[in-house]
Amino acid sequence: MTEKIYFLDDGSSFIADFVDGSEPDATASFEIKSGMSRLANRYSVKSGKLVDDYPDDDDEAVCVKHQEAEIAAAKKIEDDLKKGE
Amino acid sequence: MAFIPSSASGGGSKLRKGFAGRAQRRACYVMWSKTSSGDHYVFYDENFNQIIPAYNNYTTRNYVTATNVVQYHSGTFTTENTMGYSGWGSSNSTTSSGSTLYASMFAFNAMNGSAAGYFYSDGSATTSRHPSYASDNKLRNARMFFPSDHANRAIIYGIEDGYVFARHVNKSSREELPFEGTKDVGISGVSMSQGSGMAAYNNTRKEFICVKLNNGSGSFDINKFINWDFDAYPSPAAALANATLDFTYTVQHPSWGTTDLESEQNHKLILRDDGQIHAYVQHNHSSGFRCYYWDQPATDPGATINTTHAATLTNTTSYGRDQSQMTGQRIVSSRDGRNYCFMAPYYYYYSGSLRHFTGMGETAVGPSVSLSDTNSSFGLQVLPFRDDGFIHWYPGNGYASNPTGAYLYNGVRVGGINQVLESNGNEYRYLPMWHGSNTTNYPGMAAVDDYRLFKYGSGSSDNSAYNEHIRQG
Repeated sequence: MTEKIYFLDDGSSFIADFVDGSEPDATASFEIKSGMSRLANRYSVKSGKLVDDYPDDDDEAVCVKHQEAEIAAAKKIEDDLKKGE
Repeated sequence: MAFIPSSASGGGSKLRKGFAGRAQRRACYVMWSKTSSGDHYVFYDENFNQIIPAYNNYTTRNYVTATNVVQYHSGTFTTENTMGYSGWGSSNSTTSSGSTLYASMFAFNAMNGSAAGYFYSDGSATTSRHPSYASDNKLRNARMFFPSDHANRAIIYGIEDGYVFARHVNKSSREELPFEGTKDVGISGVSMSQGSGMAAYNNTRKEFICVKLNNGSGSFDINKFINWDFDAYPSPAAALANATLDFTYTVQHPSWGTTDLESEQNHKLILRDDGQIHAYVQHNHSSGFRCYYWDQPATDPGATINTTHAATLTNTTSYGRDQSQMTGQRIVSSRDGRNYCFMAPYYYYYSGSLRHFTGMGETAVGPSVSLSDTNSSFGLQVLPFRDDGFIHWYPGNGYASNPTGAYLYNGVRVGGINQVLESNGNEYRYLPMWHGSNTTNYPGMAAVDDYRLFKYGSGSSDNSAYNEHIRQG
């Protein structure tokens, strides 16, 4: 089994193992080696290399940070709209 | 199944017309949102053009003479409790790692339409409340339906506990009455006390398969029926009586992940025209959402068939059938019943979504499209689109003043050299009309329950029946 993380041109990314079939069209892909986290949410591509954006956090902490970022972004939109009124 | 044009003198005349405007434009989709001012639904036509909004418990009385959705805006006549939404979370938040139901969960739309209730193309709606399953009954039933490309799209087939049932798409739950003239039937020897949706029918092959027995560790016994004809015998009891159990054989799936109720009693099958069978299995707890495939044997193989592992989409801590009757894998059918999306959560109960797409007419090995939404706040939703494809609803933070926060995108439809399902990741559609809460909100989108009774039109208001076999609705 060879798991890879795929970065698509719509900005999304995911980790999958296409054992017997074609791989998806991706702008970049990297093998997820043994010992690496399999949480796609924590990775990005910088200068052509795979980077763990949360080296000090476990997977659950990364997900919680994403949830908190979603809540903060929603509040910012509300605040910006109120300013515009 | 070949496309059969509708007949003016056939079933089309018995179908209900749409409800909006002089052209009687019918609805195909409904946005649903639970807000502080009540539950809101907004209907859209086949191309996501807005038709008529309807706001329960809301203060405006606009449109009350134009639609029969909600005539009364006083809580005296209908409230959230009337529709059964008291157990749902407000759409100003998301499901994240919890088990509370939200409009933005991946499972909001499935084979049987919206999990929130019954919504129809003429703008009517009703609760799906059941005394044993509260307002979650459609969500629970969504796991039971299996792929079938029979002609009469008014019928939806499901299997649970070894019982095959036929229901009208307008009242699709197993607890509803059988489709007129049909009888449920139990298949002898199928030992799946908690099994749901583990079967497949192919109308070209006239074959029906179902999981008969779970042997453990990824080994299953499969019943192969031949001469099973849902067009000649729409009643499951009659179809079984006129079919032959050709033989039962055993498959062994490799690289089997977690062994639990979800993987063993809630995985899904599809039987293609070329005889290839796919099994889609949600393995909880980071073991991935996998596809295994094998060829339907023409004769009794006499030995275990070792299937092939096609693909795995990785997941996180994710939950399925073991956690509740409402959670786990479910499917979405294209209108014609030929193409399917198999979907499972990425994160806990309802966040993110993992999708494998394939069609009965395809010939390549495994799924033709596999996609992941790794969101840990809410889950991407899959909708049928046109007659043979799909489109995704991104249930983000969308409302009238923030109209780009939630949107339709990433169509999956037949195309390309091989004429198989293809992903179109850069396809986007934004909506012109929103729920009535003009603040933070994560609305869900679903197909109306009778979506597949009508064929896709020329972009406006085609009320024709999908095919001449549809005689009820």
